[in-house]
Amino acid sequence: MSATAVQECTTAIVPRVDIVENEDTVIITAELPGVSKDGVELNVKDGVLMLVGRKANGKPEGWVRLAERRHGEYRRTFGLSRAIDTSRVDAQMENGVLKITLHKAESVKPRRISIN
Amino acid sequence: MSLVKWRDTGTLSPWSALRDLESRMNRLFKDSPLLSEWPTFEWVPSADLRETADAYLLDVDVPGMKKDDIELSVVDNYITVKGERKHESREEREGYHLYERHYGSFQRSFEIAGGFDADKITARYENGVLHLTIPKREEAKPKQIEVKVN
Repeated sequence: MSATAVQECTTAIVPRVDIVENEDTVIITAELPGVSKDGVELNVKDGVLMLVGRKANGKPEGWVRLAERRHGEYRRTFGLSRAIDTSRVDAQMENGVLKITLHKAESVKPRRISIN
Repeated sequence: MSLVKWRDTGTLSPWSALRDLESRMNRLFKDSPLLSEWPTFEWVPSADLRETADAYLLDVDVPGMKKDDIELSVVDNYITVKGERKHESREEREGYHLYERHYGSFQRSFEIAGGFDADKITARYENGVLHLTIPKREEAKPKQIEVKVN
């Protein structure tokens, strides 16, 4: 991963994810409660998938009685092997859950070789 | 290591330690809002509770639910949030590299000590967060008392 610039380190929340590998795809499901579709930033660079989720910042009102939820940015990165076709990444966001579909590169899929 | 209070029971009774444990366990279950009933659910969502002059604001993280799958109920001073996050189809289960999300049933009760009007509670499910606004009853709102000077 190229590191050409210094990146400011802010404390970030690591979102929970499920990663499932299927025959043709790898699906990453990340929980980003409080983040809308517009608050999601998803990038692929040099074989690294970077996910950032930003909550719409409201000023919390009132006196705090219970504070368990984390506030701030969600951040998580995933290293992608060459088996993943990084030009085709689909993402859908619904009710605070981001579903990222990665497609496996054609060359990696098992090919049936016919025998003459 | 925590210090255990010395109890002078007069005679050295083998049961005193057991009684001590029992009373501590009872206290733990009584005082903890999470353990007030035997857990019959699989996970517990995180929540923020704030209080303003007019209402209590409760935010609960329950991403990936359908609005209709969340159940809210009120009994006395307790508001209970309950539901079930269903897992996706079985076929997708093979080939899991990471499995961090919680699935299955969840339940959590919150005790709202001051008076609130159960009929006026509003709930909104947005971006996976359940937002509840629990208006206080008039009597429970802080009142300004005017100090008169003669």
